[in-house]
Amino acid sequence: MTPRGREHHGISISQFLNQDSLYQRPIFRNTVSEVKEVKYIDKGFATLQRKSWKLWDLTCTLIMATRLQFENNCEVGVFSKLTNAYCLVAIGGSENFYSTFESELADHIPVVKTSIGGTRIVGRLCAGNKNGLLVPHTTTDQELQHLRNSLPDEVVVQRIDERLSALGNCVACNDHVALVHTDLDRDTEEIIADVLGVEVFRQTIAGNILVGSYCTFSNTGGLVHPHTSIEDLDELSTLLQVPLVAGTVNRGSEVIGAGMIVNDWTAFCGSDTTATELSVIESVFKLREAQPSLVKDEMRKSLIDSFISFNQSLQIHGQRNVLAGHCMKI
Amino acid sequence: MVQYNFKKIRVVPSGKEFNNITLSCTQRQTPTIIHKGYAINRIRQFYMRKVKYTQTNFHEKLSSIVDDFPRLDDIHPFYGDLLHVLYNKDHYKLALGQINSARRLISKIAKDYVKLLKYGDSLNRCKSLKVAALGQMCTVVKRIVPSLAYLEQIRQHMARLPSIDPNTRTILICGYPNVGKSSFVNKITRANVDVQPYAFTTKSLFVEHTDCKCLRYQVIDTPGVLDRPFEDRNIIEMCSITALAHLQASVLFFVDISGSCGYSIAQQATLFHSIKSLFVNKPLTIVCNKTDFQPLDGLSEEDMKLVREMKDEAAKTMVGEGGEPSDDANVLLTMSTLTEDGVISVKNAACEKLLNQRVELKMNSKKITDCLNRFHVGIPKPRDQKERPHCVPQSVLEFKAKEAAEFEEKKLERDLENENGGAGVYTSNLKKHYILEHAEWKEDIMPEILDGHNVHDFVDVDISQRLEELEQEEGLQLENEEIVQDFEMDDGKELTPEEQGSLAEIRNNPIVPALELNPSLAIKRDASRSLSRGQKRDRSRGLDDAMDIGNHADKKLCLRGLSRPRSRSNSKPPGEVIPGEGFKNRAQKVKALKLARNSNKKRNKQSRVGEADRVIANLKPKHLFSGKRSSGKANRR
Repeated sequence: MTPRGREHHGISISQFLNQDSLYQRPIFRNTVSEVKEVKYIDKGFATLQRKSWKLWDLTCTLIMATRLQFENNCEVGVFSKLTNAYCLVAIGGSENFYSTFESELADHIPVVKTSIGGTRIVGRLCAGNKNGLLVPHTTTDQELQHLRNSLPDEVVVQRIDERLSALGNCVACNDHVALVHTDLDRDTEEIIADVLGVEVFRQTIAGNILVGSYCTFSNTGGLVHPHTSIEDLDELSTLLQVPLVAGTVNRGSEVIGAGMIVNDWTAFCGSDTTATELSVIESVFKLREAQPSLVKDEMRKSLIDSFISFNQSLQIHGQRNVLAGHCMKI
Repeated sequence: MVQYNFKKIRVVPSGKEFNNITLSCTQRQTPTIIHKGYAINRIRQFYMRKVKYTQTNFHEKLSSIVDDFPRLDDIHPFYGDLLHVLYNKDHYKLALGQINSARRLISKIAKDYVKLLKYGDSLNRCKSLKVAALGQMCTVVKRIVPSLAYLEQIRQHMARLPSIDPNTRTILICGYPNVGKSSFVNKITRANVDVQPYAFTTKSLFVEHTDCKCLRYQVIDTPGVLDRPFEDRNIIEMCSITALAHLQASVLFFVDISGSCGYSIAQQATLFHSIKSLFVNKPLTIVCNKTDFQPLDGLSEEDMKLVREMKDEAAKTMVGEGGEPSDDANVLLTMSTLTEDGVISVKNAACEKLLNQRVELKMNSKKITDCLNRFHVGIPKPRDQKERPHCVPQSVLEFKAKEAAEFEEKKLERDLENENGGAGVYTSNLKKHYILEHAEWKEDIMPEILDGHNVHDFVDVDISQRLEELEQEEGLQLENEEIVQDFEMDDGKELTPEEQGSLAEIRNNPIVPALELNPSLAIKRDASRSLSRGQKRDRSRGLDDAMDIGNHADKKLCLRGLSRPRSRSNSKPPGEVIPGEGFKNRAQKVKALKLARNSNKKRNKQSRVGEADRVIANLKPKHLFSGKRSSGKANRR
């Protein structure tokens, strides 16, 4: 839906502007090659920053929600961890993944390349917010030292002895509230409350105990598993004190925590994420002017049409038969 | 959802090729050597196999043709009728029927000849029977050559049909030839449909896609339709009619109000009225094109009346189904594809109408209950008075404000990587962004192991604070010592020599712990961090203990102490929890150990062979123990 990569092969700028889907108005930034930046100040007006601009090379990323991949894998939440005070990124084969974060975040918060326990799945192994970072017992001394050196002193880095060592899957938190796996140790629960400075609730999301995998929330809003019932949504949102929406990322993936990472002012999603999903994400996390109510009002029709497949019998079958007869008199 | 992709149909070989392929396949895939001297059964078998193999081959190939081509009754009626218009249903069915009957005939031939082959009494007879069978099969195929050729032609044409999804959101554009349908499609999509100033430039359906409100719409450009009876319409026009009849789409009826297409408004109005039955229940918009030539207001009275009539009719199409009658503004729209005036509003109006209709239908369906939660926003109810503020750094807010102005370039790691040899060659420095007290500390090398100890076990975050505490303590002790010494000075003479001796000893070996950092404290503190290293330390301490004992007790004890480096008292019970093993407490570990033991118990008791036992699969391999052994051949084994 949104122009990605080659989709805009060979059209003129005026045609491009005519396609006024939600995502073509704000700032485009190329992540691939020559185009550095195009800004749409008004419809029909474009400033091109570099002369070697090629429209068909355009890959647009939004300023607010960025779509990216880690080595051809769309589960970006697995390979990175984002909070309001820091961002952890896995060490990849090339710097592309890191640089995407670097360009968006490095001016504001430290972006740290690290491994945890020698693995690259840093997002699934650690849990944290602006107050602290919890790492599993598999973390090596050197990694711990590296993290302590790289993060500001206000952030407490703590290694915890917990049987469920994929803390990212078992803990979902913002700066004030945390949801945790129901089987988590009591000591761990206390450490979470102390280190992260949050209220801790043992919860499930749509029957899934891996709360960290199936939801993600910031201080502004949250996205949960698409099968969460309305009652659960209300209950969870009261618990977390943020507006919640049930949704998907990465073209229908329900593992929200793995598909995206978010903080109070920006979000990163897997590159499979559709325009509809992106606009839901942007509205619920209040990344632009959009408010969560957009999902109810403006987006509603688009959402209904894309979620419900057309029932064949619903279509005007009787009428077609009449017409078919009419038409086929040849 | 059924996807209509006719590109997957496999190539239909012509009759001659068909035979060549099958016969050469038989030649290659079945045995070729036969001798007169063979047993007759073997000879029969040899030829029967050839006949049967050829038959299966023919059967497979013909079946694939019959299966690949769509059955007109099974596919969506739009495609059914489109194929009928393009290829004639009767002809198509006949061709496929012939293929099917050929398949049956070939099977029958094979069956008969296999039966005859059973009674073949010589190689020659069998061979001639086989030749006859294969020959007859080839003749059957030769008879269906025209059908095969026809199907191949159709296949090539079908592969080029546009892949229209009949169930998705569709915008359908129709009207007289040369009224600007294709140029409109070119404007709203990335299509590059040929636009020429003569009628019937577009000869078939074209599909393109456009976006509106985050949804994708397929736009179908149809060939122009003339106003004449159905019977007289040509194939090109019938394509448009089929699409109009079968696709549940938002229809845009184009009217050229300037008349430059060669047809007057009156003619176009008659066409509209004659095909209006096709618009029933579809969101319909009348689009007056070419307003740059002739604005709508400048039309003559009669033409204006015709246009208004059309508009009234169009407004009625949706009423039939109970949908609200659309307001006037949305039924009649004007635009000019030349100046791009109103093009977007026409597109948006069409999309909007279609979406509204689809949503209305879907809201009535049962499936809506399954995804009601997707349109719900859980709004938090306040549960306490606590403030939960957002946390956006000041720099981000500043950055956002600045953003409209300029975007400064920053050197990213990616740029560095590209400059320094690219991915795989460049290694970035992890220490670059360390936040330390002094910048020059960043690159300091920190030892991991020092004197056999893991340095990190001794790292203390609050080391400076502890040092301060220790220094204070030291000061206090020194003071105390002075006091004690002063005190002793006073009454030192009253001590007996024995007492004085012991006092001296005490002074030489103060009980007060040494003031330097005692690693054992750190060891205890960090015992939870490292299991194996912890044990190692324990042992070395045990050794020290033993040596201490040796100093005071007799040699035997010392030797025993040395020979058993880990004394009984130092060993750990099996149930003791070592941090990092993943057990919560002692009880849990004991339970786990017990479970592990029990799982082996039964098998051990039955003394069955387990997977870890050594196995020799074959004790006496045949090839080593068979055959004659004449002289000098014993070592071949």
